[in-house]
Amino acid sequence: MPTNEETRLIAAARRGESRAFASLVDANQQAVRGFLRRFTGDGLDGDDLAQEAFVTAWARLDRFEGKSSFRAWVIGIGYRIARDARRANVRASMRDRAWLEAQDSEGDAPLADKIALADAMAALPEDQRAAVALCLGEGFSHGEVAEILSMPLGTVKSHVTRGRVRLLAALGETDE
Amino acid sequence: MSDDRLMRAMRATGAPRRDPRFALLVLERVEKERFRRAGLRAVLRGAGVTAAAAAGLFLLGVWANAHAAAVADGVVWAAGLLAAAWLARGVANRLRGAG
Repeated sequence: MPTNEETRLIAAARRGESRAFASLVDANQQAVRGFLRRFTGDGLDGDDLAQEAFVTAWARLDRFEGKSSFRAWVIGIGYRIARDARRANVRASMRDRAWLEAQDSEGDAPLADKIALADAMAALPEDQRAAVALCLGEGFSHGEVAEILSMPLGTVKSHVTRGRVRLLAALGETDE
Repeated sequence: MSDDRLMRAMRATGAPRRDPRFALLVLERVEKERFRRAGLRAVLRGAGVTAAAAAGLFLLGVWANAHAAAVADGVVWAAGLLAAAWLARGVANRLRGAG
């Protein structure tokens, strides 16, 4: 559910106030970019898709019903754009790991772990990758992920469990 | 321990820092989209008006073709009325001038 402030900004953006929409973009950009970076495995591609997701959200603002947060709604749009464009798959072969070294992310981890994780993420099936990125990466609940990805709750739980095991294996860890 | 390592690597491979340019880039694309939509709407409106005018002329042509005699009578009557009005105005001007 959107917060009061978010509801106010959405109403203003619907009236055509660019500043209100910019505030919405600013408040949610990290989560949307973060998810799409993990989903595509590419920093630039992820950011480009995130921009596309926000532009699509602007065009469909009248259709936002407020059943979920604005963030979850935009991430859902971004997921469908990325999946339909199949950019993640097309680009997988030419994926460049340089962006991981220059990653401007918050948090720190050894480069070897980042590369191993990115490779393991890329190897996951599309739906599983999306569920893992949202649940483990962005901290959404299973229920929220089910709504964002339009999947049954049981499927999301199973995707996250299996994905987590595969990611741990890629890091040389076992599930305890 | 294993989960800590996974979560640390997760955090480091996705969530970027907030980029103030990002919102500007999105707004730029929004404006381009707004402009594109406005242009498209104008083109569609123009095409609609043109199509309606063409359809009207076509129907008028079909009707005139089906009622050629009536149209010809109408044209003669209209020409007669115009000529009468023109003559009447001329006569009225003369009378005014003579008076």
